[in-house]
Amino acid sequence: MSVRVRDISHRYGRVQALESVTADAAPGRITAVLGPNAAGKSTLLRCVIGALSPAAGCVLIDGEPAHQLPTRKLAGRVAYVPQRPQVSAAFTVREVVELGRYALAASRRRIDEALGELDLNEIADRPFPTLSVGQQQRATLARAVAQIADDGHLVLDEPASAMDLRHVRSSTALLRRLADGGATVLVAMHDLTLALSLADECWLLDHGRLVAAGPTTEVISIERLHEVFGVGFEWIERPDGGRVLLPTSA
Amino acid sequence: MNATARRHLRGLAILTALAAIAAVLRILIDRDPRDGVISLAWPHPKYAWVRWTALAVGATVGSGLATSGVLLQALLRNPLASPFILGITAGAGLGVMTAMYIGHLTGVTVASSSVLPALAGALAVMGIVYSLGQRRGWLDPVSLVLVGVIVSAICGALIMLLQHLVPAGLHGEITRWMMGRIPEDTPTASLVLVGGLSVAGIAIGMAMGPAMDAATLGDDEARSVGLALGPLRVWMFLLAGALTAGAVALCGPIGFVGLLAPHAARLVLGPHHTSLVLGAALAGIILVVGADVARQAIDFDAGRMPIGIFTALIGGPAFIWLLRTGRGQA
Amino acid sequence: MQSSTRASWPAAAWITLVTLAVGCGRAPEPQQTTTGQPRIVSLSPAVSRTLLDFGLQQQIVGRSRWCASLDPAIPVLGDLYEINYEWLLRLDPTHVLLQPSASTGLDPTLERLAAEHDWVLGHWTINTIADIEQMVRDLPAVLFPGGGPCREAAAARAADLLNRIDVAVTPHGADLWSGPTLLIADTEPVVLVFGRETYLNDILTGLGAQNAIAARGWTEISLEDILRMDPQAIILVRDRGPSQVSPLDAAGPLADLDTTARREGRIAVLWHPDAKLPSSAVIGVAQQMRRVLAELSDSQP
Repeated sequence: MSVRVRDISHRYGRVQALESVTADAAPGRITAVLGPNAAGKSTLLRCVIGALSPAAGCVLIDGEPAHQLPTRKLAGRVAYVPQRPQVSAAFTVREVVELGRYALAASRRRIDEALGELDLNEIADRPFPTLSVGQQQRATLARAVAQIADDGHLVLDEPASAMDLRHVRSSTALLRRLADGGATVLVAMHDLTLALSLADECWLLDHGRLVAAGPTTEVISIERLHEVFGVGFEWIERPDGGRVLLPTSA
Repeated sequence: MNATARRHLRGLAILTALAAIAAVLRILIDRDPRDGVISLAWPHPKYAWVRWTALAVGATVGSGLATSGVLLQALLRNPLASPFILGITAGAGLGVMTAMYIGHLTGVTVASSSVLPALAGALAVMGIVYSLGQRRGWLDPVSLVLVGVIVSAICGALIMLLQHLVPAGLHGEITRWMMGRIPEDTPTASLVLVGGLSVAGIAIGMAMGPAMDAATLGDDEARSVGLALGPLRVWMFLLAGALTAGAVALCGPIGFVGLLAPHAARLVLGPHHTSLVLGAALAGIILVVGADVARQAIDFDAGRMPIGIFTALIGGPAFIWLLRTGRGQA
Repeated sequence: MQSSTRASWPAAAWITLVTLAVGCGRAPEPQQTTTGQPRIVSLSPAVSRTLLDFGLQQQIVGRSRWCASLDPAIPVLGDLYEINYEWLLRLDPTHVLLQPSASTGLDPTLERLAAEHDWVLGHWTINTIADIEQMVRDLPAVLFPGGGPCREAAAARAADLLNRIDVAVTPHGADLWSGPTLLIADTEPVVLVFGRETYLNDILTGLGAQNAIAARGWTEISLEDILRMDPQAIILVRDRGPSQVSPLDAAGPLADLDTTARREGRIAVLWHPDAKLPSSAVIGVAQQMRRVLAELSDSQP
């Protein structure tokens, strides 16, 4: 039960968005997808969820090509959290979370659990368009959590970019619990420090190419980051013995 | 029963009752031709068929346009979408004008009524918009709106061209058609066809309700929850187009119904599309049949006015009120 | 309290509905014909105006919204685009008279109702003087198919009208303008002229003048067309607004065009309330045309 990317290439007009990307995301692990803007992170994730049919190569979801799977069957295996939540109707938070079960059997228990996990019970009856962006992101994450099975695949594109610190922590803790429960978690992010603390594996992209893939501690090095991001980084030691990676001031 | 279900039941009960009242009033409203006195009375059998036909046409067209409005507002993710945004009305008008022009050129009456030419024009435009409104093989909301607006403009220009070519005495005919009407002499076959289309449209629309709910998510999200968005959009387009074509062929363009009825229903029922389709159909019946009741009573001694005047004068201020109170959110 | 108030809305609506349905009586029987006189519904302003000249306004029980020459108290049944069939049935006419649209022909529903209720359907295409004369000739037989003194009186009236039309459109040796003339129906928003095969053309040519336009029917022309054809006279045909108006004021954009008509002062106004109705009122219109052509003749250099 895994997500396997096999030699994916895709272009938008003349722009090569992805070039021969091959990588695996294993169950029970959190895999971070890193890279500068326009590196191809979102394109890669859209190929994984079957929203985009790559020009070459394929994505295998549990051994089957993603873009050939019937939509309903794919929904039972993969849930997606986009970068910008979008709901063009005045559904309540609870109703949005219920949409995650659209193709699946109704489950009040899964929905109640998801609302609780994302601290949404107090605003469950509020219309989605009236929420802050951070609240909308939590509701969208809850929808995805309500959707997937314990051993399913969760694909997220910067899911916490607008959340406050408390909810970023609780959301990342949730992702950890889901992964520990057998889910495959594939998450694109910009925050390198968060990637270091959360992700077991990393895929580092630059201009559509996979620069490196593997354990986070091996993929993230100062030299490699400087090469990809064009910015110097340095390790800063913390009093508790941990360390954070920050861009240098110069 | 949860709060949402209770809201739906109560809302549908209110809308059904109001639609029934409008229907009964249409049958009962009596204005004496000799002295203009208005009263409520059951019609004499000699002319009762006129009122029943008008009611059936009004209910058919009101529900058809309203259902089309719900489908299009969901398809295009635009609360201002209406059945006329895809150019179908302009296509129907071009069909009518073309038939008039051919009649003028040849001296032969191409069609004794405007129904068939309007239907032909509407369906032709549907085909054009369908082919041109695709992106990467699937219907795209933005492309549909753009193509619809452009096709509308082109049809409008062609209508003006044909108007220019026919004698001035014929200009009034297309102008009157564009105002919309409730034809009290509709043949039973036409009524059964368009009425059956409206009923089927409502049933299919309600069945598509859960899918339309999921379609309110972004494209990738909607697909990721298991929605076959491409085929759904095709169904929504075809159904909305067919309902609009039938309504416009029968009655000409009656404005505001397809725009306002969905919002009025949303105010009462909320955003769930299954109940929204039925609620909007009832709201469409209330608006069109209600407008027909009003025009029986108010004519300033100059004959009954086109129904489009009443739907706009009722619908316009009502829509502004909805906007100002911040209700009828999409 | 709030939920019970909201819950009572549907109940109130249904109670209203039942009260309406049960409480209302039935409308009266439609008017039955008893006098033997025709009960006429006229959906044509031209036919209505002609019926006035026949002295038959009392027999008109329904009209179109455009029949402005009739008593406003006569009920309006709409027009050819939308007929109020209920009122038509309730007025129980014996005759329905109209000018059908050239593009759609006779309304099939009207034909069906006429057959079901034994109405006489009289319809004419009225563009030229000959068409008007045909209508006048037909009316006595159409309105009084059974003959009798009423038909004789109507026939005498028709003969009188036909004679007067004939006299009105004949020059009788008078000194009238005879040059190429533009007959303007409207100047705004576009310039519309009366071409050949119109009753105004027939009046103009009957009185010895020439129509500058060769096209048939009501035709739109541009200001450039007018400059190029350079008419020697322009007659502005009006049926509303002040009857006394200066020709240049009435001419609109034509007043600024450098035409022979303008230079030589041969722009005139023909005003008559029924000038744009192809009806028996053409007698009065022709008399006005004669007066205008006489004025134009006086201004010949």
